Amino acid sequence: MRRVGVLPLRAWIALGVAGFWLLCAFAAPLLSPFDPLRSGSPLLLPLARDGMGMHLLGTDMLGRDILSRLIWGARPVLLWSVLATVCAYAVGIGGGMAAGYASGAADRLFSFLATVMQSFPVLILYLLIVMRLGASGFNIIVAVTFSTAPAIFRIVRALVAAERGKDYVLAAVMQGERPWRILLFDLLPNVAGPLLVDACLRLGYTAITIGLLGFLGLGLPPPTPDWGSMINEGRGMAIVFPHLILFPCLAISSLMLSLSVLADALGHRGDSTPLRRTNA
Amino acid sequence: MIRIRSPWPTVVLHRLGGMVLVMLAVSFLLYGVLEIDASAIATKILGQFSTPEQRAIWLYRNGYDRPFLWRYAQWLGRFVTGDWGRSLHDHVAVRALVPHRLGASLALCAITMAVTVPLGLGVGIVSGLYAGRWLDTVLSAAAIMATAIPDYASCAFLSAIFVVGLHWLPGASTMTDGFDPRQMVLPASVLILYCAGYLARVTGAAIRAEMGRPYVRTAWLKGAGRGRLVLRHILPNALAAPVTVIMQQVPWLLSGMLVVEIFFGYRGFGSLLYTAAMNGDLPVVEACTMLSVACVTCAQFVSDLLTTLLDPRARGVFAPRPAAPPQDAPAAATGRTVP
Amino acid sequence: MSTPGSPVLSIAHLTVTLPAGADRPAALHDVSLTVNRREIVCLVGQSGSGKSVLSAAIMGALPSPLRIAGGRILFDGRDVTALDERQWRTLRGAAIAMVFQEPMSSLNPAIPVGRQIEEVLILHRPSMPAPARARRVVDLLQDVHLPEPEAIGTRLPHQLSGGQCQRVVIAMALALDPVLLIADEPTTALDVTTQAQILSLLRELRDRRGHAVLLITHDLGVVADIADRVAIMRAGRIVECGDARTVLTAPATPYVRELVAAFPHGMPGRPASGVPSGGPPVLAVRGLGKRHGAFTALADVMFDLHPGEMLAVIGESGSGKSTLARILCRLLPPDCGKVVVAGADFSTPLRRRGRPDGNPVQMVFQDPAGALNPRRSVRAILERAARIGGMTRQQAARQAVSLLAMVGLPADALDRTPHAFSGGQRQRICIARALALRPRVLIADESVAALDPPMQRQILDLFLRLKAETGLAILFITHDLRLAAHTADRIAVMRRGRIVEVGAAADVFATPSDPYTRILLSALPGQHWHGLAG
Repeated sequence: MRRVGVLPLRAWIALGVAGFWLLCAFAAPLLSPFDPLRSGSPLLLPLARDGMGMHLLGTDMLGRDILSRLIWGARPVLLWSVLATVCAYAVGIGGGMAAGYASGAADRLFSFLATVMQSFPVLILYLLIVMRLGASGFNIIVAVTFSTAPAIFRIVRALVAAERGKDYVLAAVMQGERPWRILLFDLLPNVAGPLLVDACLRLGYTAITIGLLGFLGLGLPPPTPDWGSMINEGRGMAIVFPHLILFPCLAISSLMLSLSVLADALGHRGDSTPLRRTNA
Repeated sequence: MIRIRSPWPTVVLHRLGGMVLVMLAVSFLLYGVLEIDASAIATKILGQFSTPEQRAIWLYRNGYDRPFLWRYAQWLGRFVTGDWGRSLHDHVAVRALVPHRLGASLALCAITMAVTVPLGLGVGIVSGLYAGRWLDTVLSAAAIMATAIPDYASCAFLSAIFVVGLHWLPGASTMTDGFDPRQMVLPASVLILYCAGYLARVTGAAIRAEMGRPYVRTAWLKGAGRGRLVLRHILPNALAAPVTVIMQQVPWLLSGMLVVEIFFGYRGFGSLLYTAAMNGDLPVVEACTMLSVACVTCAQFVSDLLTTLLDPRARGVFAPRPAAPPQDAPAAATGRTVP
Repeated sequence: MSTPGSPVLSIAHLTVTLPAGADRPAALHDVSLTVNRREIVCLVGQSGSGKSVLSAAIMGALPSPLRIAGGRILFDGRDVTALDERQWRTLRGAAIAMVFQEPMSSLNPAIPVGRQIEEVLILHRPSMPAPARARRVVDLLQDVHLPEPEAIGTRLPHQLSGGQCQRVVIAMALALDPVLLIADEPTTALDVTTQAQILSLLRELRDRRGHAVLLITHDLGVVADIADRVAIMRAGRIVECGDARTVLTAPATPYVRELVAAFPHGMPGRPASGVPSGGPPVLAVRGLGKRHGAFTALADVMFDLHPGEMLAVIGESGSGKSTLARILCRLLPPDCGKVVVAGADFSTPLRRRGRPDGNPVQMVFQDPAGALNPRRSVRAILERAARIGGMTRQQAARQAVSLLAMVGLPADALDRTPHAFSGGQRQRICIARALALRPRVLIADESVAALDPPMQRQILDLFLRLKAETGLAILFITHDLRLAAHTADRIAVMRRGRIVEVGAAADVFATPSDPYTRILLSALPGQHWHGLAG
């Protein structure tokens, strides 16, 4: 495998794709050719023109420019997936470090709670949470935290439990170091590597999940452009106008693929057991 | 949690007890989330414009005036004895509604697994066999792609190719005119793509991880070829991870095929749950959720048993251990003296 | 000593290059070596000296970036450097066989050991009928002196002990009567009594069956016991090669002289008078007991340790010596008994206690790489320890500098992270860290076991200096009886959780009273050292 600098070539390509979507999200007003909410002629095919100008990727059933909606749609996807992943990690790392280090009763309680949460199929968990709380950005964070924090908890707990028997931790214990300092300065930096790989993938899976909630009609309320909702709205006419859903599908697939490849390259060429997709 | 040295009936009982405990906790959470706010349920059933009196009467008639814990106990008792209530939407017994949908999903699930297991294991083994060569690179890239593309996107891609582009397959799988095998192809393909891709990655990774172990070098230096190394030596030690994955995929498929069912209009278990959740049809949601959780828990149990059986070190849990514990006899005991 | 036969293996001017960018151009440089029939040749070298690369080259198993750049390896008169993988496969296991360092992990955990031996026959003698194969397997297991060979063949590796596994690996290597047997540190992972048995088995193979054996080791004691000829390697070159007796008793090169000097041979010369008899002990252990489930790790352990004294605790794996260390460091609570350190009761575990008023017992671990947080600089490590001990920032900084000088490290080491140091230097950092808390007692748990002999000597000398200069009491836990006898003031021998014998080092070594100590002593390699000279 060809390497360029510290990473293999494919990792740089993946970084490029992910960076492209990040750029879209930040510079949406500058990059998008049209207002994503402005209606022109409906259901134009790619490269067709109307009074507004040329629509590179066509228009949707309300005549809105698909390219503009894709570019603007990167915003909620990236914003909420980053927020939700960070939130899930905060909960998972906190619980996992406490349980892995303390063992005993606290560990058993946390592990039991994680088992209970994990025995809900994830899709059902989303349905239940969104059904109870309604669809909004904040509730997406709640749903993702509830569904992924247990998995992160388990990873962190296992990493910490494996690490805490090592001599450098014992040496710190023997010196009389305080537990929180051991956790923060000794353990956390040494388990950060595998967690980074994991976070990369989870970010992608959260993006998929947000798309999925949009697909199920549980995503952000319209008319905000977001990729999942675009797929949901275009589904009915997909047989006749496949471009309505193909482009948002390509967008989310490219984002996820880039994050997967990146995680694979970071995680020593896939030698570690790949992470299971959480929404799946 | 489980002591390896315990005799196996204790281990199994311990596990079963844990399963029951988890199911109880799940049922309590589920009932709590859905039904703790009784007045909201009354409003939902009777409509926003019902009067407070009407709601009060409804609550009284349906036993919602009792304390929450009492209601939970009653609901649990009924649920366990097979009384799952009536659908608020279709007004039929939930017990009558579920089996048909479950059957449809299980059929799709069976087709998927029948292809996934040989395909995923095969690709994983081949990519392990050719680790580091071009075939492995191609297969690994394909597997990463298959797992990275979301299922709703692969639905769209496959439809665009085989329905819109080539006109080979029907775009909907509603089965309105009876069972049609052609309508199963697309939904199954989408599921197989993801499941087999994931299984292949896990199998390949497990084989690569085993490859670095000293016993593989021993076998290689005995004169064993690559095929023999992977199939005879590595595979028996690398099977635990793929088996766990296979066992996890069965319960996942039951609810995870929701997206596929909705996209292709297939009337299965997932779409039943989805519609019920959208309509606020609590009894159906509760029954479907409990069934799904039961599936997950049972699959976890079976997969634990299987991985224990596969691990030669843990096999002692199920079979009597050889009598003598390993102990090096001191030099004198073997009758030979050390100079 | 037996008479050597015709050459089986002759290596001439072998050079193996490293990929560009490595710390040196070649892993092996102009190596020439011959192994004859009916002869054991020992290959001795420190880690990184190239001895494993050499054995891999002979087996045609060089890892991918390494390449043979010059020279020949003649095996039975045939140059094997040009063989392809298919030709190698017919040679490996049949004509050249190998025995490894970790017997347990070099056997497949999922396949009964008898079948693993049989596989060699299946691979190389496809026409051999199954009953004949089964008979051969039983014969082989018998040849390596395994009890009940039929029954043992059906067991899985984890059901056997380490020594039994090594016998199985040897049986596997012997299956087709290979011309050459390469044994790569075959006894390093084993206890000393098991090591003696495996060595005598190798000797028997040479004498009775005329095998040629290339034995790779770092232990000069093993060489003295078993080798006909010895080759000493350093940095990819053979620095000295010749008759074992000559090399060991009259080394020609300075490096080998240093190596031989570092090996503690002969009777320990330390006088027992080094034990300070007066004054109260700094560490008093009474009736200490600990069980792990049904297994008794410690039972009724009792001893005293005085300031300025070094007590060596000796035992094989599983004797409870590491459990003892952990209890004394308060990482583990004892089930019963008392630990008194400088008059204060120390029987409770340290966990959940806040900042201690100086922890008077500190430990130096076996593996210095694992005992240091890889992400912190030496300065951070040393200062943090001092700060826990209640020092101010300035005091801690000053102490860090003086500690480094005390353990013999340059002052510029402070701002580097542990991975920038060699194993011996890392162990010095660990010692400095332990000293930062100003302990009264230092526990050295196999602290030199992972180091090469000259480095071992240096670290032990450092311990002795600290002991003499600061009055530190040291508990030296080791499996190496000879090292203990040459360093410690007193020796305690442990077996199955009990101390079976305590006494002055020279006395225990010269006139052991317990039968187990006698077995340990008789199993020590290198007893023929003086016989060689004479």
